[in-house]
Amino acid sequence: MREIMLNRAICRYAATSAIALALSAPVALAAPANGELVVAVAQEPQDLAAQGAYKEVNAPGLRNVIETLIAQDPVSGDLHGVLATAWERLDDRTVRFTLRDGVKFHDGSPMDAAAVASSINWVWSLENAFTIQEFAGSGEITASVIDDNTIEVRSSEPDPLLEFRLSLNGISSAKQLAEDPSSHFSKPVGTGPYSFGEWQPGQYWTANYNPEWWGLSADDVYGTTAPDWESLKFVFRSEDAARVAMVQSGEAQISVFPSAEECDRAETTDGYSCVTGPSTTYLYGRIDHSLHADERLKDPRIREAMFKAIDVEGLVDLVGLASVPPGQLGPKGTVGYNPDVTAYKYDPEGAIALLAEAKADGVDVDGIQLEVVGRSSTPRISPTVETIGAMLNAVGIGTQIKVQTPQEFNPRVRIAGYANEPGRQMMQVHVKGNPSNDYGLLLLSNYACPSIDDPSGASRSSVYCDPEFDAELADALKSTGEDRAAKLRKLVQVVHDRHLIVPLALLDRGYLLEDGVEFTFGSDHRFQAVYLGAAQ
Amino acid sequence: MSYTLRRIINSLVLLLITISFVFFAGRLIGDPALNILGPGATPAALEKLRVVAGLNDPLWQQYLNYMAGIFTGNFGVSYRFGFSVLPALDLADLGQPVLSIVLERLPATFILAGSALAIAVPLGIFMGVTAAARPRSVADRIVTVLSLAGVSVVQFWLGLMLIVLFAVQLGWLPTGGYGDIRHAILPALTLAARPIGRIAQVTRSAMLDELAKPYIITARAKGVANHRIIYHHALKNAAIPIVTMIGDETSALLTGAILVEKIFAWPGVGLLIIDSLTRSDLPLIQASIAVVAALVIAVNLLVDFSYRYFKPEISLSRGR
Amino acid sequence: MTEVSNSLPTNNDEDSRQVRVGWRDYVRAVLHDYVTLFALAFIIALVVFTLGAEFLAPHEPTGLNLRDRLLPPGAVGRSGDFYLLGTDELGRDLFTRLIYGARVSVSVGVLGAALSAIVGVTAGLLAGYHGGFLEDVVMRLVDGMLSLPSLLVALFVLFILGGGFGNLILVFLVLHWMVFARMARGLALNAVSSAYVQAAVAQGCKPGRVILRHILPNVMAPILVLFTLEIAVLILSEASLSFLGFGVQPPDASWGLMIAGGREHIRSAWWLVAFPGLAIFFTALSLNLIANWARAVTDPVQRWRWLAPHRKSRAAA
Repeated sequence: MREIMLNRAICRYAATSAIALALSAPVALAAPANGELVVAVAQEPQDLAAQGAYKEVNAPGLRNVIETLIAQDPVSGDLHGVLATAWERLDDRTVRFTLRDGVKFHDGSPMDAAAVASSINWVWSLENAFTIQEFAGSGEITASVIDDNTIEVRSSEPDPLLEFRLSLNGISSAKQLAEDPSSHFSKPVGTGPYSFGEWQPGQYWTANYNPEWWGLSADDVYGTTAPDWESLKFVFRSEDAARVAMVQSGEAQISVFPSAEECDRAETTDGYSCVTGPSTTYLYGRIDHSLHADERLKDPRIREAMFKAIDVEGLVDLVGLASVPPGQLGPKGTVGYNPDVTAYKYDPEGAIALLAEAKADGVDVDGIQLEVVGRSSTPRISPTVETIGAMLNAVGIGTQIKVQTPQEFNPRVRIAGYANEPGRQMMQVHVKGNPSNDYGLLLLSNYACPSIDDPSGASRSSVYCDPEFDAELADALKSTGEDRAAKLRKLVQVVHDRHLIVPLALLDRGYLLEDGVEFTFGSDHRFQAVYLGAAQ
Repeated sequence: MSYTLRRIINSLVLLLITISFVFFAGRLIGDPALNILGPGATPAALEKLRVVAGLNDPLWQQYLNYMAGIFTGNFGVSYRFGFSVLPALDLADLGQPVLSIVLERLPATFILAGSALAIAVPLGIFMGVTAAARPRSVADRIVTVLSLAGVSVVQFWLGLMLIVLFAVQLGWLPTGGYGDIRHAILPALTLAARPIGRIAQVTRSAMLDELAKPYIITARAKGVANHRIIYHHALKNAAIPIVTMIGDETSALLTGAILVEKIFAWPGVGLLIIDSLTRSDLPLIQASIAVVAALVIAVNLLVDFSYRYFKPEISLSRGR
Repeated sequence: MTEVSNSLPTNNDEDSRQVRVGWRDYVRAVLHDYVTLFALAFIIALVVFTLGAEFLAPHEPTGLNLRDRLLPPGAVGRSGDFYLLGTDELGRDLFTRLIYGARVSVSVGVLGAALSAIVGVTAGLLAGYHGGFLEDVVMRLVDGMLSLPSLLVALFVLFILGGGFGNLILVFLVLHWMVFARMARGLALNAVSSAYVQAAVAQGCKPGRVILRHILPNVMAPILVLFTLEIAVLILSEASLSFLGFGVQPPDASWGLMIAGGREHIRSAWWLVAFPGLAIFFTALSLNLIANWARAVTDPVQRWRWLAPHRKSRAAA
């Protein structure tokens, strides 16, 4: 294992040096030097609508066509302007944006205040109920025109994360929405360095170099970097082995998400290499613990024993490209991250002792049948849940291992499904991202009392309820700055000590790159041609 | 009523029953509105969709609307594009008609099934004839085992093994995808394994029957060349069961393509069906099942007719 | 099917029928037929290992051993364990997993085929014996269902019901009984017109008794052959459906599911995909070979070929 870790370290180093290269790339204003860049992605997108641009896996590559007002820098994580040149906070729920001058959508319509405002309102319309609304947190967002080049965006609730939420918001042509709304979902019209080409269902989608891209003449965002490829092609290939083979045989220049073994193999194989980087996605186990749960799971000793029984380091090894997470759901650097909260200790003896103690108090420990459930679409889920089951069995906790289809699994994660299964004893093993750099949303969606009527739906996947905790959380969500961080830190400690959710692995993601291709990405793992480079 | 007409009507009734079954069974997986908008949808949005899409009507009325639509080629629109915004807009504006999505994918499946047949028919017949020419010889034994092997192999496993060998290790052929003829070789070979076996088996036994007939013995006695006897006389007369088997295998290929298309990322109807199942896109599932079922039923009908055409003495009443 | 070669040992078909055949003849025949012998030996070994997995498997099926992950076939683990077919991603012995996986795969096949046979044969015999309206209904149902794309219907129904062992068996029953019904009806029609059944009916035997006592025993042989073939068909279908995620669900481990799980490692640990696939292949092939042989030796006209003392029968053209 040590060898493998070392290789990973080399991988990371390669990624950082690629960043340096990309930043110091020579001026290239001429047409792209290379032909087609083929990227093998794991699945076909559901659609290519602007709203999906919030998460790369929804539609890999879409950010090359559709841009945002502001974006996170892949290296520093700071926000920088893209279609906005400046922005300022007016109050705790309003931000004013100054738009870049003279930008045109790919359909020729101007990117002015009216167009941007209607695009934003479309994405956040409650009636549309787009998935971005749940992903990015509660509060209805509306945009209004101030003058030709200025808009104001307002959230219905005090919202310190408003800028972040807008960094997820893809801006697409308002003309298209008005004239041909159905094409909005399959033919994205944005402002990016590439314009949408074609989408062959079941095969691939393409985008072509946009010679009129604003970034060619403005160097305040990406410097003088210009796209290196004439066109981009995202090929859908769900077989892992086939994606790897595509890079090996030169059918593709990049392929996504190789396994740890493939990544190691790339180091010893000529022609291509592997880069990996951490994501903000966690694999975690969540135990039913209040409301409709089995009485025994409400006993904190039982849950603590379960956590002590799990060898997280062993699981991380099994999952492959991942690292051991701290005992909290946000990575270091998240607002509210609590450095005192470390990983739950693997302590089978302690677990056995706790169970014996509970048993002595009359708890029917032997009758527990914890359902360890994963969703079939999660990578390597079957060995993961089987291993967790075996670890729990080893300390004397009965388990039932299940892998369920999304259709069976999804409703069970949420309050509506939970309420239908009184006396449930379930540990959900699932993945969850936390891109916001802030604990507020994370705590809300995982630990707040679930409400069926929550308009954003965020809290509806919680299975925990403690009104006192909710009150403190509501207070923290309204605060800003160091005050907010301190309040969140305290709450992170509280939920840690209650043994509700055990983080199992902080997932890395990797890419196989044909020699000569360089790729810079942040923890959101976006494919943006401006961060991709071809060796000259 | 003529036999032909009755068979056609029977087939149509069967197709309608299948479509109806799929319609009602599809409702068992829960609220279609929730399916479309996803578990994150607000109650208000769900309600609005139900009104717009007519999901609040009684089930029988929805069923009648659906069936009425089918006769005009309207199987509804896919959940895929823009269904999430249905409540905000007019139903007619959004969503791609599912029938056109399915029809778009048909040519790829036809090409794949056609290539598989183009491999399987000559090879299967050749193997069967070779075996029948010398019963119980070594060649016969080999053909028997090989043809049974073709029927016994797991298609998707064979596909994976071919990818590993020819695309990964040797690098001779692409790993999958749609394009020139090189892309079709591995999937077509994978798909052909089973029909090769079946056609070889049926050819062998039909030829054995035929070669035992007096006219062959007479021909042999007259000194007609062996290959001429086999290919000119016997094979021609043994054609009926072979043609029937080819027909049977054609309809099997149309559904067998599901796995092969998945393994080789071949963008046909099979891949579409898997995708729509994983996405719970019910209108698309319904339409693709209807189209594939219609094709399979039609092929079976043709096989039936050709059988009757070749052997008109088949009795229509009880087969005594 | 009258298969006649140039060197006729008997004068006509009726003579062949008269030859009395004892079980010794069958045993002798199979011992001389190496291919069938191999198939039979494989199936017997499979059954023995499947039934006695607890005693015969070299390792624990669920014994995790993360230190011995992904070892190749024939490897010796750190603790000195020998792994005949290598280990999987959790360090479990693949050979042991195959043996336990056989339980799932084989029992899906056997149970599915047995239930289909019971329902199908019952329906077919009744239809063939009684004729009339009953036969009309049954045969129309059979014809209709046989012309449906069965894999697709199975996929859809499992999508609705959810996968799992029980639902899989149910789907197989619904989609495969017709094969038996069609054959049983044909056999019943022949039997009904035969002298011995006519005699039984004439003696006033009740229909149930006629079917059970007189018809069923005489149609058993071809039905058993079909049963054997159907087991192979169902094992293959199970593998496909489980591979697509609509069949057996983890942690139940059928062979098809093992292939699906090993796919991720196909380049680095080929044995995880190769061996379960071979297990399915050899099982299905053996069943087919046995059925093929059984069909030949139970055919009263043909069987002399197989039962006659073995000799090289290269018929001169």
